[in-house]
Amino acid sequence: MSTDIDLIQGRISCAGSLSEPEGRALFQTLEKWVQSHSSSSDRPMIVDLQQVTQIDSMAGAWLLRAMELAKKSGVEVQLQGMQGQTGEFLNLIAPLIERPVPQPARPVGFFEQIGQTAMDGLTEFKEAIGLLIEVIYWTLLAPFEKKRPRWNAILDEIFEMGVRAIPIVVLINYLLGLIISLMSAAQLRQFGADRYVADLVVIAFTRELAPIMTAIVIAARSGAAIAAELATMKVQEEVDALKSMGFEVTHFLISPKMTALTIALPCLTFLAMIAGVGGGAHVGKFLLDINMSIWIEQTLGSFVISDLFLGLSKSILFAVIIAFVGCHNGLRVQGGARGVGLSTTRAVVMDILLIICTDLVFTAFDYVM
Amino acid sequence: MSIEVHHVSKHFGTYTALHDVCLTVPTGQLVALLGPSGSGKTTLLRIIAGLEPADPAPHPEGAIYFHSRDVAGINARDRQVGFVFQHYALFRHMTVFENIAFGLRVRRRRDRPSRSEIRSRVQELLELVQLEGLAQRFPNQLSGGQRQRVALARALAGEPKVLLLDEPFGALDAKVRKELRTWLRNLQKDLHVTTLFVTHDQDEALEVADQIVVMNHGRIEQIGTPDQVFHHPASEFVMRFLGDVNTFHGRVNRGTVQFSSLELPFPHERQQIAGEARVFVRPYDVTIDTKSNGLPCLEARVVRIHSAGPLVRVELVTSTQQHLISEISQERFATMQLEPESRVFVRPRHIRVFASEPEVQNPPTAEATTHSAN
Repeated sequence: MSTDIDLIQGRISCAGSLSEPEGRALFQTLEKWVQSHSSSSDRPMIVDLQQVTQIDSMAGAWLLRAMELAKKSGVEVQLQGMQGQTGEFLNLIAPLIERPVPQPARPVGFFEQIGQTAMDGLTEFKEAIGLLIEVIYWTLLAPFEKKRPRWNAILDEIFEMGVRAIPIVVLINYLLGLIISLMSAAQLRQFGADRYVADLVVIAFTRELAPIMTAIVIAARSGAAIAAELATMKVQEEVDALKSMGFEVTHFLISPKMTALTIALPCLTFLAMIAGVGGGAHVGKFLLDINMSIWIEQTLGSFVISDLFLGLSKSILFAVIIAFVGCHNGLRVQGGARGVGLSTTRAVVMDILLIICTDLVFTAFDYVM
Repeated sequence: MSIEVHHVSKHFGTYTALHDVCLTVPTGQLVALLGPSGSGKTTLLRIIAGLEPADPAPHPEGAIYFHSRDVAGINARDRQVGFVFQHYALFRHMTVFENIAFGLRVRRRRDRPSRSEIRSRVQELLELVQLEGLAQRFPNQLSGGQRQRVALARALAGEPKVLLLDEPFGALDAKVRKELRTWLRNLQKDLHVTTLFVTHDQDEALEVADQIVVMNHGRIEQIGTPDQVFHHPASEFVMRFLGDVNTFHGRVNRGTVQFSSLELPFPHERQQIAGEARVFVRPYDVTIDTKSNGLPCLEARVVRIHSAGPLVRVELVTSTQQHLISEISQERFATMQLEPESRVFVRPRHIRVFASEPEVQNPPTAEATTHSAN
């Protein structure tokens, strides 16, 4: 083999059989040439393959690298005189030569990222406000304009999200009642204040634990279901199908869920309070050996009706949060099955975060007052 | 009801989905929106349906009219459109009957037909889409073609004035697709409802539509009958998109066009094409001869032959390393006894030249038939 390199004429002539070492030599020559000529690249570099009898894929790979390098540096390289087997081979790899050089992704700056996140957040916030206005209209105002709520759908949803959740909600709050009373008994016993476990349990459950635990259980159960249902409908174009048939999606799909959950969740929370207090009482009776009449007396003494209302009104707000976040995330879905999974996850995470934050605001406000 | 689209644009963030689109669909016609994915055809359809808002007033006259009535701000219900989705979008928990009846059943009480009216209407529609007897099935018990027909029946239930179909046969296999599109064509002619459908399949558009709207990058490239867009493409894009084509780089010079090693007369002095140009030849316009007959031609070598089909498809490489595809009849193929590696002489019978200036929106175009009988 022989590779003649004529730098002055801007021409590389190859002859004989081209394989790995020759290909590499060709590449290195071109590299040098490109480096020295990058500023004045008006003349194309000519690679003459007239005399080449044989070329293999290793040489081809080097040739490709050379062409890519040249393209990147804005130098034109012309292949000339391909014939016979060489020509066929080069035709084979021609699509690779002509493919665009992949541009390295521009690194995203720190501040740009912050800005982008903020803008995305703002866009989402705007969407959410739009949805909220629609939901408020269709849930609260439309019934007064003779646009009847869809009672059948609401009853179905109450059954699905409320009645069928009773066992799990009751069980979890009962168990939590056991835990709380056991845990506090261990502390209070040191002061001989066993009987105050009853007070603690009833206050904790009416004000905090029952609303929070029930909301979290329902967020995981129904919040996820709402998001998944709407996301699936959206992905499968069912939402658009409804729209094209002239339905208001908010009226048809979202408002019933919202209404149903704001009815179901306070009821569930009320049951949860009873279950939690019951769990506490069972610990008192069977483990702490406290007389039941004393326990009941303590419980009723600490039970304040305003605590009950505080707990239930919180749960109404939680219901609105769960339904709204579920719908919002469901309708924002992008992509297919994976998108549905993502928006469901997002809904549940957002639900729980918002529930806890709202609860903190309530509790702090109550404390200050 | 006719549809008129005037100067409609649509942006998604910085991405331009539609750029100042104008379009008229006459009453009762079947019009295809044809283009590659991302050309904005579905967006346009969704805007017409009212599923998506157009950009607010980018143009003083930007509007959509249904039968001379501006439909901006009119929701999908009052536009009286029927929309058929690519993936059917049937309600899976409802039977076929319930799916079709759905739009009628949940209407406001004063607009709602009675139970028996709904039943007979659904029955009628089931007959229309040839699915009698399947009323009690669920969508997942139906084949793709049947589902799409249910979707069509559902869209027709509300007696729409305009029927919009978004790649209606995109998810079906080739055979069912062919059957259904013929069926759709006949149905559309019977019902005489203005129909606009989106497709990326040029065969489908060419076969079914009265008018074809070819779209690319959010712009309309050409509007015309199937014959017009196929035989007289307005741009290079339309030429490339409607069927296979061989491309050459060439030059137009004083009444001739040169490409590869050919120089053909190009007697279109009135066309402003001069200098660099692109030359296109459809595969069926490439004739093959085993002997040179004195006419200008290219020397080529046969690379591959596909003879299964009504036409024989021959892949060739010219002496200048240009790849070419030719389609010849079975009879001609039989007389020539071609096989891979045969040396042949190739002649373009009909060429089309576009000035190669990619920046220009509508490059001047011209066509020439090489003067020789075949």
